[in-house]
Amino acid sequence: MKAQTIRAVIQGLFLLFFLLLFALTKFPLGSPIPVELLLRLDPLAAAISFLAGRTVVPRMLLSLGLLGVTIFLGRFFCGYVCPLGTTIDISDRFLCSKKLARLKIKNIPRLPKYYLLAFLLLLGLLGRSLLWPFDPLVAFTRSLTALLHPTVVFLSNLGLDVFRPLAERWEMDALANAGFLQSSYASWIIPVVSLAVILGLGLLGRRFWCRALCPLGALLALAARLSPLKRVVWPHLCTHCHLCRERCPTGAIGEDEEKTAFGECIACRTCVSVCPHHAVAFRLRKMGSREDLNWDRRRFILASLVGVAAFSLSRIKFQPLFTPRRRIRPPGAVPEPLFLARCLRCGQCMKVCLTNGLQPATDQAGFAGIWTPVLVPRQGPCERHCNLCGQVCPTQAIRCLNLEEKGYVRIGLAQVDQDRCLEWGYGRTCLVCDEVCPYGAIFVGKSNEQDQGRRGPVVDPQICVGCGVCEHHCPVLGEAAIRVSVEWEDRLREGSYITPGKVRARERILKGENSTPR
Amino acid sequence: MGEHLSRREFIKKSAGAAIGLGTLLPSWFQAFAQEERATTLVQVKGPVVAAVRKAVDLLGGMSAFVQKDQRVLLKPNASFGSPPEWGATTSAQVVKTVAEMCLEVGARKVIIFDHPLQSPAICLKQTRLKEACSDLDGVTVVLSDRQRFFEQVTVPDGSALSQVEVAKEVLKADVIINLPTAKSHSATGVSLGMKNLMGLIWDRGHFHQATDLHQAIAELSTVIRPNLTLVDATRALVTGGPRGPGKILDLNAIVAGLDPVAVDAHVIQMTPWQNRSLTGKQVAHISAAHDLGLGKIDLEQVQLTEVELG
Repeated sequence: MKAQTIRAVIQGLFLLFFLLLFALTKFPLGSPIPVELLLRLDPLAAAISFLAGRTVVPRMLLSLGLLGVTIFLGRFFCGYVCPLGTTIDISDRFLCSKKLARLKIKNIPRLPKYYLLAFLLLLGLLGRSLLWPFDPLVAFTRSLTALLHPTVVFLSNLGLDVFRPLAERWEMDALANAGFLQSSYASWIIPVVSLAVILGLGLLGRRFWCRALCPLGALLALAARLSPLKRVVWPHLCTHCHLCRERCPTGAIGEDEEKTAFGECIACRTCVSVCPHHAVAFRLRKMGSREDLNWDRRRFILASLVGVAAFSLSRIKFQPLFTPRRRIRPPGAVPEPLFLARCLRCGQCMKVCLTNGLQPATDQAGFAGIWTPVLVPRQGPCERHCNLCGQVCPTQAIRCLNLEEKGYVRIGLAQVDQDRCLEWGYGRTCLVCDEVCPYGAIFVGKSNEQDQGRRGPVVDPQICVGCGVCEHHCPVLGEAAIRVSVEWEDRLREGSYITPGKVRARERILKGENSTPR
Repeated sequence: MGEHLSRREFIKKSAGAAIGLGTLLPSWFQAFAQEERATTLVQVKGPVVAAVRKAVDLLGGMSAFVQKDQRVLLKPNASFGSPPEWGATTSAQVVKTVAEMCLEVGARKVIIFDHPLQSPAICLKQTRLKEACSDLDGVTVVLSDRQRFFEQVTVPDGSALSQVEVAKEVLKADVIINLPTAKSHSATGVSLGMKNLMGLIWDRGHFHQATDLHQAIAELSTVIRPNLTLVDATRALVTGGPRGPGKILDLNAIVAGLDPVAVDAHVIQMTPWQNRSLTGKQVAHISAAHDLGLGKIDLEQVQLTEVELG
């Protein structure tokens, strides 16, 4: 088999594998392999989140494995494993028509990705993570969550609807009643644009993104330069026909075909298989013939300066007083500055969220918090018997808590808007909030007598954890009459969320002491 | 005066009368028996599976309700993902036993349906309904949260409700068996048989927001008429209902009957709810159902058979 075919097969298998892991990112979490594996392999995400968060997250240390293997085998990840790379390869096939050929540029620059890497690392050192638009694995996962997942659900439901009449007729009742919750995600436009840009760059040349811009590619390239497995050319066989250089998908072969830019080489072996004279091979060598990068020290300094400038800009308060009342973080989210430093904006927590209530932030978390997860209770509440967001979070921006402890995390506080409440405001019979509250935090209160003895739901702030089930089910149209806001949120970097005070309050409820007769 | 009845004529006519009587009488008896059963309640205390079986047997056995080859809808309360010991949901054993009894008398299909207030996946897991019923052939558990599985029907003579979207499974079923659990309810006092039927409709918010909740629940019972109501009062959630947590009383009883009002009225006086002793008349939706002529609220008029299994 040809090297290209083997590579395509391996790429396809890895893509399917990662898609399968993504599909398994759901309740209940039954996968023997961690579903967040892809992101845990990402050394760039690890580096930035460690640097910006000033802490090491043990589960991200897996990425050292990828870095280690790259040091021995070269940049194979980009050529065989990276699912975004595979997607780019597929899309490049559609972009290679003759009409579009005039857009191609001759020499795709290699260096910008290193500058981007320097910029990101410097920002990380200064405590900021600006990884999310640039990390390929994050961008890929985000696109799956926001674009692929809703599409697949829609198509599955459509398929079920088509077969439903038959299923009903044959009394296949499970099938006749089957259906999936249609998930949807706010600010889906961001992954649309970023994916369009990354794939669209293919118009300028094959794998343009990977060769010119990908900062993870740059990091792996630095490691690959140390690799002992190298492309070598036997000078006595080479006729300088340029065929290998023309076919090289990453432009790793220099003007002089005997020289290789080892950082660029993805070990795809296309050059080996196209060479008519068998002049090319991959061998363990101390030193192959290396084409050096033309490091431009001034540009590096410039990139770093841009990083410093970006950091300084982020310190300026352009935004007037920001009061994030609706920035409700998932349970177990670490304190906000650390959260922003760690969160990759990959969307795994949103995909796994059982109720689709975990949404990408649009404006709830400020500019720095775009696409970080926030709970939108009207869309879906935080389910008491689910703790999956923390389990799948690769950088532990959301801590992995067991179900019991998760049930004690206050993510906010529900507050009754008495003027709009059907009970308080209109004297109707409702109390749906009390009915659905999984913690028994709502009881029936009475106002004083001058107020003609009105009554309605009252929230016990000692018990309420802000899960938003009340807000979700409130029958008042439009904005709910009971809403969760960020007050009283618990954000612990470490240590237990279960405190004696909370436990005592819960015991009070179990004794039935808060239920007022009606 | 008068024509003499020839012998032949006499034989002819009396044969005709006999045939007529013979065909009419059983239906008359049957009507009588139906009337009899309608006002009969049974209350069986004891181990849950045996109690369910005994209760149904006392009402004439499952074959009195389910004919061979019929499609049966069971409506347990599976609305919450609370653990079973909280008493917010019908215990899986009760549901499973009734499903088995339906299959034993030849039901073609048994659909166990609810429109839960929580994620269906969680409710299935917590109530253990799926694991209890998954090995029964012909039984399907459906926890539905999509509007397309509901269909609008009109409520004849409804004052609080003119139209309501009910589960399509209700319209497809030949027999409906209501399997509520006994619990208190913050808004309606108790949640028993008739309140349980709110799990067969789509838009519950409408009941709270746009109309009189109690009257609407009563009028819903004019549209969805269970053939049998069997209340799981093995453990009653007497405070903190309908979801709990709250105080649990082990009443250890199964109450069943055909009259939805009488069943609810009886369970109410078994114990105080939210620390208050109540009768059916004091609970707005049950009283409204009585006023609509849906059943007897006065327990004096109801014949109760009480059995305690050893």
